[in-house]
Amino acid sequence: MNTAQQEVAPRSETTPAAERPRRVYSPRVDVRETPDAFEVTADVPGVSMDAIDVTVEDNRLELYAKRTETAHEGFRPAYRQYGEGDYRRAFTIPEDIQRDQIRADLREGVLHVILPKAEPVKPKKVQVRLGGRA
Amino acid sequence: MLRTNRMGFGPTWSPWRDFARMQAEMDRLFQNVNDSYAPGFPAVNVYTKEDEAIVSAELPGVSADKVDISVLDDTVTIKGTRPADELPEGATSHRHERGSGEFSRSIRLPFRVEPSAVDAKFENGVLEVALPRAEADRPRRIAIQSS
Repeated sequence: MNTAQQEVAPRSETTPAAERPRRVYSPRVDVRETPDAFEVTADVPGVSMDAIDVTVEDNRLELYAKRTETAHEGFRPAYRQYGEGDYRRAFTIPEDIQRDQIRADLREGVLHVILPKAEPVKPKKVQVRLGGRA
Repeated sequence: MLRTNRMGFGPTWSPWRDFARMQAEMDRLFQNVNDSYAPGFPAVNVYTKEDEAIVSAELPGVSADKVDISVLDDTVTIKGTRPADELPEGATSHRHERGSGEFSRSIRLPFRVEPSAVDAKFENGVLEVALPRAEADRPRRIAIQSS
């Protein structure tokens, strides 16, 4: 179902958090294209806005989100279907993106990134005179 | 797919293994009921101590007013709807991995729950439900009288 969930394995609760390697999951995404922009929507439950990192380098867009592990003092994990780790997903983006205009927002654990397209170069009209022999 | 590798908690014996197996059976039973959504959505984690359980569920993109939590004896049910993002006119979809629709998930706990004391919070797409054990269901220490 979810690639992230399939990676979940039981882990030792006695190991301190700092010593455990952080798990990185690939979030589920939707990618859409409108006439003006590309839109990437990613499910990143458990992440707050300040933990989101959206970077563009060359033709690569990378989404990175750091999840804070929830502490349940005095409780023991009885059943675990999802792991708490970071999210990372990268995309190759087309040339005609206005890189300085990329916007991102986060609501209810869903990250939404809008990549506006550059103004299309207007096609030049060339007038060809017909029957120009007078 | 979730139930195959999630039965136990490692090679050591765990009293929770039965609980996990029961949960897997529950998922299988409910699979046919809520086939409007992929079975096993939302993904849940369960944490327990003697007199309380916490059920947390990943529900990104679902608003609090679209979630319904109900408790009956030892079973908590999380129901709701994840709305579909309509594709606007003139837009094309290049990738569509995020699901939508109605979901329902029932989790059976190792004890009966006090329904009036259940507390839920919803933050950044993660729902956390705290379920205290019913008073009548708590073990009682019996004092032995010595003569």
